[in-house]
Amino acid sequence: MSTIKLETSDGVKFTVKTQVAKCSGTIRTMLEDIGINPQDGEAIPLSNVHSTILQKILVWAEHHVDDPEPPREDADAAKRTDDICSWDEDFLKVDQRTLFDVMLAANYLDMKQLIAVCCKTVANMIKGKTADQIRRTFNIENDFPPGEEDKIRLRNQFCEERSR
Amino acid sequence: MTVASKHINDLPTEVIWHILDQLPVRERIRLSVVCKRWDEIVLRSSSIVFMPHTNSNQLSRLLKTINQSNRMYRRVALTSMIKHDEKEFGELCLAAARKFGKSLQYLVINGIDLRKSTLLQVLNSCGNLKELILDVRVVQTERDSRKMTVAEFPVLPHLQHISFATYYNISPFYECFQSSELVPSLTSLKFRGVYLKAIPFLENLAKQLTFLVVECDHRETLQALFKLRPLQLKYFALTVKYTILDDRLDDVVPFFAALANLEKVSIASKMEPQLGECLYQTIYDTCAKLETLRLVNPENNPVLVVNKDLQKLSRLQCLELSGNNRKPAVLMPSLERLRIEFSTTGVEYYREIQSAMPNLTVLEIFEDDRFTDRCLEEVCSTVPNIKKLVLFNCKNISSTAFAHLCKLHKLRVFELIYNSVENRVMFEFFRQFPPVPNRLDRFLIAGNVRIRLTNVVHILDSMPNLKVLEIASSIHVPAPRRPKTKTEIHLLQAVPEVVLAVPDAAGDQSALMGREE
Repeated sequence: MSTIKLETSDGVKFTVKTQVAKCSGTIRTMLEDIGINPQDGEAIPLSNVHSTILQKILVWAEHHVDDPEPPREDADAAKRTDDICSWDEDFLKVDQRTLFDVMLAANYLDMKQLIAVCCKTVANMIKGKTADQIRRTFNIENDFPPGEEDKIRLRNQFCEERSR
Repeated sequence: MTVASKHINDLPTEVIWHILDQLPVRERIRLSVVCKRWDEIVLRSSSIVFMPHTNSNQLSRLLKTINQSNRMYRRVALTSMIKHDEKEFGELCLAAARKFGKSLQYLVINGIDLRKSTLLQVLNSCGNLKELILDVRVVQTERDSRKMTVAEFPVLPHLQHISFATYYNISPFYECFQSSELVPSLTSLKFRGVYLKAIPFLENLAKQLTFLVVECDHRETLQALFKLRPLQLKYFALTVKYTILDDRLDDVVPFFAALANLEKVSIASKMEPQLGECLYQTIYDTCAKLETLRLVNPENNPVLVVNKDLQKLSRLQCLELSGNNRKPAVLMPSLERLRIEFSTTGVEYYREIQSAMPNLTVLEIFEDDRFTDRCLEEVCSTVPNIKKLVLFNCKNISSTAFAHLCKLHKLRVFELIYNSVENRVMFEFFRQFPPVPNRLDRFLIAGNVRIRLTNVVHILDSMPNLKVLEIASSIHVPAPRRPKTKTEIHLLQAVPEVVLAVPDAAGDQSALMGREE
């Protein structure tokens, strides 16, 4: 089984099965298109990923390495956020900081399935909350000048009507 | 080189968009009030675009945005709040329709005035529309008032739902749909106000409608409405705010007698008692498929709602009642959810719930001034299957009674809401909230009430399984107690999610939040 080396931003080197590393679109492109040769023993530098996060991501990739290609997303399909598998659910039971770090890294590494499941997790944290509760949940500052928020609410008025 | 990210807004825009994209469209739009960045993301998101037109100078900029866009949007909301701008707003609507028409599935037009000819052109360009929300007055110019030729009628083969979110009489619009063949998929209509001129429109569609929500206060319109026979209706909601339904509206009863397919019905109206009894009887006799029944009687007319014929609704799972209903409940084995919005007979009433509704799991009690400590005790000791209990403005209950909640072994959700101005009562509640050992997942306290930090800690202490504690109210942190003990900090951290929606006491709230760290 072929392996490659990855080097994180803090200089930690990981030896990873090539197949697992190819869960990342970024690494796949490096290997296949740019022609970096893993046999050289030289580590691929991942300058945007910290070792603690890469470790976590590799655990995820290892678990999902044999997953079939996801079906092409049907634009009309109803959005579901309740279809996160229980393994992923447990995997993402982390503090917000780690979750967002994983998302940033997954985005950099171009791991669509991991991003999707993270986004669903965050969406579930947003669902059903008021703007105020959301700001509090994510510690977001309300940076609208006074009165601006009311104007936006007015603009969005039609969304407030609820069907019983 | 990575600097550890700590914040959702450190994520790149496309990732935040991906998150918001998981949410239903209305919820997503509401998120634009969270902060400037989210507003921008919602506005520029790939499937919805807003064209808020708030002053004349914006028009050319908006038109430019539309014309330069290289995305095909599925959802567009066009809004304008400027009076007398039907020309400009029309121009905007037309530009958007021409540019995105083929991909559009969901269109909101929310303005003051729009010409009929413009609206027709817009709809004619949007042949794939599924949902239309119209909140605008459709005006007719002289040129518009001539008779339309067949070719001018918009054909919308995929349109499923129209919502008229306006009180304006928009009769010029109705004239565009003279035949149901133009909208073969339309099954769902929602009217904020219905006028007589909408009746022919409704008549054309009556056969295909399965969902109808109507708010109306015009007697003649009501009379005409009840002459319709939308036999396929599964959901019907009627709200009449000021008019009193009486037996001079002679088609009310036959109208309901024809709706044998109803699964959900909501009637919120004042009614003459005699008509009410006859109407409810008709519903019990005909609507055998009914699963949800909501009867709101704002004047507390002594209409007898619950009688033994209610049992004929063998599929009924959810019953929401208001008005005067002092009669004891009848046996309803299928019922899972009961909402009481009236003044009951008190203990007697609650004592009978279990024998009458043996499968009840959700009980919501709204403003029952006869709901006392004894009633809560009765409910807790006799209705063992309750999973969710809601008490809304039940002011004749004291904090000690909550000790009985521990008898409800299956209780998972408890909501306590108190919106009255006399907030002293509630304050007393929380001063001595008794320990309630239980398995609650979710506990909500809301309303005009001040809660002490010690109460919060106390609640957390007594509810080890709590996943969500929601306090939509102000938290009072008494000065001498500000330095917290270690135990309290631990308790706060033990709850995965503490939602604190504190509308006015920012200082108090930060005092609490600050200690979480």
